[in-house]
Amino acid sequence: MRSRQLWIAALAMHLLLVLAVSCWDIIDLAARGRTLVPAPIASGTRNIAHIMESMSPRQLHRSNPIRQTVIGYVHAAGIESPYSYFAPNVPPTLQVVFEIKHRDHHVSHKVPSARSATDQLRLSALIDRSVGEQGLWREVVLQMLASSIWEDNPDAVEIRAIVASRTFPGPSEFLQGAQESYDFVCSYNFKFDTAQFENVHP
Amino acid sequence: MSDAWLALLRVGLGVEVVLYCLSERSGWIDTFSSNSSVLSARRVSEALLSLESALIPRVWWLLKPASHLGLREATLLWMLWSVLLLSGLLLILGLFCRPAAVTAWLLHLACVKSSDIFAYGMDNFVSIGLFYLMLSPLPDSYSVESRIWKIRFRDVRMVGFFQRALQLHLCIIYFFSGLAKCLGTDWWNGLNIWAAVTRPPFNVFDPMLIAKWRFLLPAVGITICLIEIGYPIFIWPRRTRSIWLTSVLAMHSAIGIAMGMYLFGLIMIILNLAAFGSTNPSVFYQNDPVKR
Repeated sequence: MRSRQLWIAALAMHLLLVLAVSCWDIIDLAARGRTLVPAPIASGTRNIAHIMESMSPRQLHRSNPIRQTVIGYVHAAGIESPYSYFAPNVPPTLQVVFEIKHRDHHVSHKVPSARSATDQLRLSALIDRSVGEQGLWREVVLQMLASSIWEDNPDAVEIRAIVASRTFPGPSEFLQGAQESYDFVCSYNFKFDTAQFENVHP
Repeated sequence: MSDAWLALLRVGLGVEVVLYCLSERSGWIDTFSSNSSVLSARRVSEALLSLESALIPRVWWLLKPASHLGLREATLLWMLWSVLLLSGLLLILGLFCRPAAVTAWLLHLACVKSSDIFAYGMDNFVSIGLFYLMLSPLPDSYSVESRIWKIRFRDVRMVGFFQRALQLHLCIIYFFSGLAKCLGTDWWNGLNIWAAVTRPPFNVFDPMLIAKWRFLLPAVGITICLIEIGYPIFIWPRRTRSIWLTSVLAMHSAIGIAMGMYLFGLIMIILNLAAFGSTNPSVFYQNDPVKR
């Protein structure tokens, strides 16, 4: 009897964590104005988002055992991520192209490629997650992708990563012959001989 | 009380683990080697994991003690791949179910976390499934192990308990997934369906073909929203369960085929069939264990 109660309590805690991650995601989406939720309600959800954020174990010090245990558990159980795939709307597609300057001054272009269809899904997920927003994470990911291009082109002296947002026409426009278009997002120059890079924003 | 759901979960997850190993085989060393490129994917992922928690399993945990044996990193990584593949095969066969489930969970989790920057939804759902499988009372009565060694069903109530846990978890997943979609403007007019199936690498079908059937897109978008948000309500009554389960299975099959997400589609079908494809696990809440 006692063991049954313990299992039920453990399940309740487990599902509470799943609910907390999922609720936080919905509230965060609403608070950032990315949903159909009207602006007055969205501003209210911002307060709830702040309260939830203050209750998150991530607010505790990194060495805190409660933080370590809770975050370790949610990762071990696979429940650390919310379930809002392609929601509330499908995000814009980001495309990365590498412009390679070779030692003999000729220039070639390459796109990051994957060995298999599964790898292509993984690469696409990485680019969508990391390249969309400005910051150190975008720089790290682009440098990582550029370094793999550099491994295939050891004579490259400079690689420029160009990120563009792809807009695909709607179905009716597509039938009338409209084509996809690209908008420049940012570019980064990587010079591998000096291990320095500079970035250029639009 | 049948444990058919547990057998289905075991075999299904075994297949997923084997397919994961085979699909990652060509890039295995590149992904997990610490010196494959200037910035190794594993090093970046594990550095980020360290910021989260020191308790999250990672490949480094497995390589560090093994490196004292004097083996090369590539050899150790192939050993890791082989043991993961073997655990998947043992799950399919139903041999050494418990050790195989624990090994598959730990190694799969370590690999997924150490390549976390390349992770996508499918990895999470396999981790969820393996977590429940590892804790469930194995071996199930359909496994080769229990048939050869005539192993008795140990705790029939726990079989129902873990099926209930999986059922409740799926209800939360679909409800919040459906709610997030309902809050988006373009699921109601079908533009999100169009955007999803025309964006690389999901653009398996010719956009011209889809554009010709564009009048169906709003109906498909609304149907997906309704199936997902209605899941926690309509999956429980016997009258609507088969309709909802069939709809969800059809939706995941369509996503798998139309968007090339075969492994994602497969894991969702496995989890749904295991959770709701067999009888209701009410036995956990009865006072007396049911005799087989």
